[in-house]
Amino acid sequence: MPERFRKVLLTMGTRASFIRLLVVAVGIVVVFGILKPAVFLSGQNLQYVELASPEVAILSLAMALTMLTAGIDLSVVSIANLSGVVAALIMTNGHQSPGLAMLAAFGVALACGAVNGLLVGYKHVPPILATLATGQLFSGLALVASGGTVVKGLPEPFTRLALLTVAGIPLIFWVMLIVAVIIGVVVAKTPLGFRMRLVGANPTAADFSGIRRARVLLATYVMSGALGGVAGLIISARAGGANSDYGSSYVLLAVVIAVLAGVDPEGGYLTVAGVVIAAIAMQLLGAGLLSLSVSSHVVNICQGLLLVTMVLLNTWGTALSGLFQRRRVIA
Amino acid sequence: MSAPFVEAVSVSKRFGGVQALTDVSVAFSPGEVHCIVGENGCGKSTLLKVISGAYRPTSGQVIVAGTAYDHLTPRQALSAGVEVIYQDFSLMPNLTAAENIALPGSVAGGRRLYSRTAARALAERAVVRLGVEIELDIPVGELTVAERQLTAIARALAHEAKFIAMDEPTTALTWKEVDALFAAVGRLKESGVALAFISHKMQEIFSIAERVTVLRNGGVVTSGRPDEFTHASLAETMTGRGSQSFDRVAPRNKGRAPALKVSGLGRDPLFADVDLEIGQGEIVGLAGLLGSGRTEIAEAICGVKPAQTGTIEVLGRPVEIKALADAVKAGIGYVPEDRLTQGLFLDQPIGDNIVATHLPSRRGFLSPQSIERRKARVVRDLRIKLGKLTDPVRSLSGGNAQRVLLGKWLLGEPKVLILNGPTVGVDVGSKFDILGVLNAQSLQGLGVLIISDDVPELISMCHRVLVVRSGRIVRELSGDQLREDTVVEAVTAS
Amino acid sequence: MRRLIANQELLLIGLMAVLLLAVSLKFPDFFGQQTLFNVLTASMVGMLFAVGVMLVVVSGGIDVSFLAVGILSAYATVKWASPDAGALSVFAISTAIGLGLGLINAAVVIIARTSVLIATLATSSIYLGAMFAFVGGEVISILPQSLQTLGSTHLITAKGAVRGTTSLNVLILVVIAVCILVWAFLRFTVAGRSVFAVGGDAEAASRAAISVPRIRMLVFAIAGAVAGLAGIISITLSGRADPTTFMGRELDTLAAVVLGGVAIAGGKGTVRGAVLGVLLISLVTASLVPLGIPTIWQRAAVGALLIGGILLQTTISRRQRIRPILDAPAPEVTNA
Repeated sequence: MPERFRKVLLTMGTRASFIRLLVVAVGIVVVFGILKPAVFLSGQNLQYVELASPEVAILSLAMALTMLTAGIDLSVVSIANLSGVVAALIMTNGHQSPGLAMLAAFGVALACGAVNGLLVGYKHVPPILATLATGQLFSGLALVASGGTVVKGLPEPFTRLALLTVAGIPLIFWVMLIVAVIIGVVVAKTPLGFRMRLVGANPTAADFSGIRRARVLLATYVMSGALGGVAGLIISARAGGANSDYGSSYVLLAVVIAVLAGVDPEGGYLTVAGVVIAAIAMQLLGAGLLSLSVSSHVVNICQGLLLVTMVLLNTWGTALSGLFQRRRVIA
Repeated sequence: MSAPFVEAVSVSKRFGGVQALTDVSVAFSPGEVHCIVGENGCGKSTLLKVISGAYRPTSGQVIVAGTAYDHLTPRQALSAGVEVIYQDFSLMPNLTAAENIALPGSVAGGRRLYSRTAARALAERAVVRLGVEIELDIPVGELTVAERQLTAIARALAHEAKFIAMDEPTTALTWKEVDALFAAVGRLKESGVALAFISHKMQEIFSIAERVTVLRNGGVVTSGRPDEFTHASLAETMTGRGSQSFDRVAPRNKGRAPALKVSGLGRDPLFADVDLEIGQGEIVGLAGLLGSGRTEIAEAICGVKPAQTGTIEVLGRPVEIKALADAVKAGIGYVPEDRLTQGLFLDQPIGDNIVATHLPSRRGFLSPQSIERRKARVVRDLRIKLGKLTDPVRSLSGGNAQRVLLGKWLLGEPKVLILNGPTVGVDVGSKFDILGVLNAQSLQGLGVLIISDDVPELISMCHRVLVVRSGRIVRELSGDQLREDTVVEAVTAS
Repeated sequence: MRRLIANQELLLIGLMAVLLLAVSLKFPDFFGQQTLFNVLTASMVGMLFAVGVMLVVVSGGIDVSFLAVGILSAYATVKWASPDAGALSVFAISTAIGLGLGLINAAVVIIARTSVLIATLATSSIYLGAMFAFVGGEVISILPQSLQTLGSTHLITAKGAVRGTTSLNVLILVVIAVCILVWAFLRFTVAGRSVFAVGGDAEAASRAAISVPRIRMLVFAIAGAVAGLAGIISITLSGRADPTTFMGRELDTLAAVVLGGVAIAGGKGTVRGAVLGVLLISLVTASLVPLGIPTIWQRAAVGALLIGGILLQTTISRRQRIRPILDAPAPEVTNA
């Protein structure tokens, strides 16, 4: 049982980077817990982290999924914003129920993901190019749809979703956990997840193994789009409105979190738990720094420094053993 | 014989717990072709890297042009005229051949300005000196493998190399191209360059070497002139074992539907009118030069690059193959040409490589027990030597890695298995094991198609050999016609 | 024909011509000096950023820190410059700061041995954070006198197409000079050719005696300096220093560079292509209104254009690889 548990946590492989991440997360809690216990450990602060993490974590999971297949999804935030705008317009101008609006928004997100998947899988466009371009298109469409302003006046039943709590924990945090478990199961327990990993590890060998690579990639980008849609709905519920360039810095943040989690951008490795922990750790770091009442911009600096540090550790931490292993094979 | 230009003196090299080289001494003299031979993992490549300064020996010295170095640096080696051409050639694919030849010299010479015309002229001189023709003005990535090989040699010449080492330079070359390479090597030799040639192809060793040194397990076993050896004695020295051969049993396929029947297969402009039939339990060879269309035909049958015309039948039933996945369903397996890039997921676990194609699942979920059972079965049946199933496949030797690939396909119990160069880069011992597995499987009714340019291997393994030239099957050889000279002649005829 | 299409730069020029023609048929006035000046003015800063990014991409890596470098260099320079500082020194300082930040990028890439994308993600968030935390975040609307003068010094001022005047700032000369310098660097210096070598195959380049870290330092230094210059030009032209000017616009510049035929995987790209990519995007923007399309469509239009361009590029590059094997159309006689 413990072995199995560990496997689910890691999905597979690099234990070292996962442990480093845990150390960092715990370190953040301990340091700020000692420095500013009254503020940092308060229920209010905790609640803030619980509310702010889900959208970031879900976007990072989308990014990490595409990285598993050695791709990247630069369009995921645009997808989130486009589906947020669509849902908002259906609710305000269309006077439809939030349920219908959310369904439609989700459909838009799936369609966007499919466009990416078709370009990457069937048209063989490098993912970074394909999603760079579609990202422009999707956010352009969101801009047009929203008329360049924030779509406001969302019905109360919808915005209340962001405030609801279940068992003392915000609903959207539960949503994040459920999404993470689903992704974790798909990656670790299904043939699709297995094949995504192989496609990421070596696309040519995947072709020569009878894996239908285009389908796997299509599924990957559709999933990524779907996650973008979920994130978009959470964002607009929380903000009480939607616009075309909410959180444009989230693209980079999602990459940062995936890399912090130890996801290999070159493909073949993903840890779902790591991504969620890294996303929460980044929020904790932000909340902690704010509790010291430093400028919110210092948070940026620290996130950047943290990324550099983790990358340095990942490089030099494994360098000693890696050097040895690599050479033995060459010889 | 003049004094050696490069000499390794009692060189030893350890990597952590692994002793890669033990007390190796070799000397390379101007105007001499010195072959270093041995199985994979014998330390050949490590020795080259010590000589080029890429590795620092744990003990021992490298003497270059009379100067002894405890720790030779790559720069020192280069400026003394030591050039190593690795298997990947180390060329920049996006630059033209001319730039590839000229740029390193400009960099090493500390020049600041670059002139396209001067670079072109320099490259041209080197190519002329080598006595070959290379298209100098297109990106190296668009050249053939042979042209890239020659570009790498021309680059070595362009900056006045006095010693050129080539690491298995003929692996990707056709027979004709090997001839051109050997002619170039001959000219280099005459101009007084010391040459080291790493290989494990017998024919080449005997046709080019003036001195042969055999490495085994990181140490020198013996060294001498080629006429002191025979093919058999050299093979035995390399492996430390006697040679083996197979008893070919005639396939018992009378009255049974052929395992594979291909009619009128074609894809413009690669191949056309391909008809072939493989009986159950039959091993058929497909011989042809690199670039003759042999790989393209195989890749069409298994759906990697599907054919435009023609039909394919497996056990008498017509199948439509548009992708490799269709071929897998139809019972056709394909072990590709390039194990490292096409066959294996190098950094993924050995076990996952084994089940990559035939992945057991139930109701949309993986079934862990049957996955583990399959992994264990393949490791046992094919006698794969490994540490743990979760180790990356990268950690395996060439022979064991090839067995992983073979096992991955045999798991699906195919009716037909197509193997493209199944023993390239596989050491002699593993080679016999792999061929033995194929032999045993064919006795159970598997139809096998082997694509290879190792003619003795094809002759020893196959019941029939088909010859491909310019995208068409032009001859079929069997029975008494199946001899080394007839196959070579059929393949190279123009 | 295929060669023609394969040449991305010709394709861009063709597209621009078609666009110009389409709008000019509707509004003959569009084809004139005013459009030219508008497009050039709108492209000046973008061209510099694109040229810097192009350099980094060619050397193998995707830089996303250039805007942070540009705005931090320029904003800090303006913030701390005395009101009577000379334009030359202001420009020099901003460029120098950019160069220094570029070297920091290089150091992170080299020491952490990580991809340029990840390294510059980190540095860009550090640079932006540092600017807001330590330099300031408010808009500076009163620039040093010398910059104000420079901002209204025009190379050419002509009568507008319909009314008023149209003009082209003298700084266009600086932009052109930088483009020519970078072009010459890539074409005529050993270091410039080495940039392509490193981008093509870093491992092979290092075996060919090229010092990969040195080339990377050089590339990032140049890209940083160009970004610093672009930042200060942007501030000079707009007459105010707004630290949020470029925020979140990284992908726009990358899009232009990709449109210009620069290979995102490295090893291939030209100054000409990057410049044309930026010009095309500016022209699209300028054409939307006369074509009766609200400017709000600009981003979607560029996105669609980009998808088209990339699809074309990918299809062509995939198609070129087949070498014919069949030589004789008639089958040979089997003589077995």
